[in-house]
Amino acid sequence: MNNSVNYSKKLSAKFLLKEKLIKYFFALNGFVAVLFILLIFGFLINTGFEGFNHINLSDYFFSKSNINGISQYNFEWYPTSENSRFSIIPLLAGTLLTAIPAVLISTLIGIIIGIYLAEAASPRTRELLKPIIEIFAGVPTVVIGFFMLVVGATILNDLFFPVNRLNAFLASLGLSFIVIPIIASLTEDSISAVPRELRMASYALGANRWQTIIKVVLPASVRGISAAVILGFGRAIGETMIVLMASGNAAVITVDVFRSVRSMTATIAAELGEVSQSSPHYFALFFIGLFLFSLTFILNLIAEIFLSKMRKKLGN
Amino acid sequence: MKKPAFSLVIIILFVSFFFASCKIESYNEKKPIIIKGSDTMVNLTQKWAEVYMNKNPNVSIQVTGGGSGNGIVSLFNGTATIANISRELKDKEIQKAIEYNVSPYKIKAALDGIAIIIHPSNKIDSLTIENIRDIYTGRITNWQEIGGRNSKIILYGRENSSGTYEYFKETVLGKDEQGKPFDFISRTQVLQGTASLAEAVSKDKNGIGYGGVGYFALRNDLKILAVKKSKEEKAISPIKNKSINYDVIWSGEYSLSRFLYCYTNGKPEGELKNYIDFISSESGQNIVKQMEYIPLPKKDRKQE
Repeated sequence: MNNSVNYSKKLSAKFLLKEKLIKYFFALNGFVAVLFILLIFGFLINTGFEGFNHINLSDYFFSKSNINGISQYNFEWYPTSENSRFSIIPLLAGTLLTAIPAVLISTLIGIIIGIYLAEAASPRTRELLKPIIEIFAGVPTVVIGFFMLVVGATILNDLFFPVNRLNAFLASLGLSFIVIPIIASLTEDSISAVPRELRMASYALGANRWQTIIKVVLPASVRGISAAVILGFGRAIGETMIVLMASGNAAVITVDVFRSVRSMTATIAAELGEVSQSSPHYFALFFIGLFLFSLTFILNLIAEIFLSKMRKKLGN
Repeated sequence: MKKPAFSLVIIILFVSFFFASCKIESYNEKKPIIIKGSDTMVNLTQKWAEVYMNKNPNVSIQVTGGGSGNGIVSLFNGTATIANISRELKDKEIQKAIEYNVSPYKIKAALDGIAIIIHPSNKIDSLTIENIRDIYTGRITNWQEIGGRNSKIILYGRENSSGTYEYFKETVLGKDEQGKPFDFISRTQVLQGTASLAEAVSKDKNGIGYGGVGYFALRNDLKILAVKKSKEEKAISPIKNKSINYDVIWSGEYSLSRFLYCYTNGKPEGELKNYIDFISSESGQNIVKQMEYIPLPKKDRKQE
């Protein structure tokens, strides 16, 4: 009797130690992950700020030129010219012109899919469909880019007669392939998180299924859905390969989605490989990287705040 | 519990030491020739290396691309033995060589011609260099202005790190009266690689693009333009009966061709010299022809 108590005490002590070790191990892992992110951010900031020795902050947005005594503002990205111009405005415009239509398309389709999966689909269909949709998010983006370049461009060309064969809209369609799964899957999650009691109460008041979804379930999960859309937007902004292959990469400022545009990510990908180190061009690319990092960081932060607020609200 | 983990660590250590020692040994046995540089020359150089290594099994040659600029930097910092460069060195780069204590030695390796391509349905057959410059700097925007149909010209170009881009910018766009180089108009679409450019122009009725002659010569879905130095002069096409017209390129009559060079650090010696001699030999230049580039004129070839 006594023996076995001792034994179990010993065992629990050993167990506790092990538990503690595992805890520290995981804490360390988490810490290392955060540390790496901070180091990357620090490196970006450091190199980006070093660039201010070569390029003024205002030069990243516009350059002033004097033609016949009239000063003109110039918004061009042309780092290899004799008088280099480093305005990131056309690149930012290009990024937005590919990302915004992609998010609009994806929000519409993604939310519909999310609602269907959470509310209408039978458990079996859901088990079948959800993994399939999520697999889409895992398709290598170069494959999607190649598909848009070869097949998508021809179809789009025959349908809309765009100004440029490779254009922003083509890239948006490609982006939708990876943004729809993100939005659909997160929408489904946040709708499923709406407590059963809310639905039951709605039915008890005489609402039918459609009214319940529109008037009760969707408003309750609106924060989660907004977070899904913002995360999708961040993904669309950060995506490189699809945009590089399908958008045509002309650094112009335009609002016409059927024209070629060039995104920030595509510029870094196409130019950083060969630019000579410590040249103004090199630093300008790092500045774009810093800008992009901050943009996606802020978007993800907002999404995270929305999600945690929703969890709190539904938890109460 | 602890024992298997401990022995696993020992085994991993042994295995990694084993592999590490293997690597060092093989490194000593074969001193590799490392070639880096121009993307236009990668395929050609790989073929040269393959044939040369078959003949001399104890030599190992590694070929990578990355662009002429990349090749030069690698030659300077010692990570490459040969730099493939599709243009002559710039003054800036020669200065940098002195900084790095490297003396670049130039060897002619082959030639490359740039062809101007359009969609086969386009009526235009020839353009002057000035026309092409005006098109790419945005002063001509409609095909009608140079005798074509009434539709906008869609411009295709290469990314600003490619040798073809720089060569085209230097020779076609050129400089204005004050010696300031002209810039591409910003609506030029930038494509990655000659293949995707050919693909784009072959599908765009109003498109125009540029790139290596050898690559385009075989394609039926593209039209290669003849080029005039000026309005008065004869238009010269780099193509005759669906194959490359060598004479006009060697003689320089066709304005858009260039020499491709290999740069070494100092005059090549030993194994390196053998390889360089092989490139400029008759069999090396036959490979050039096979790979759709343009071989050196007879006087620049090495007698075997």
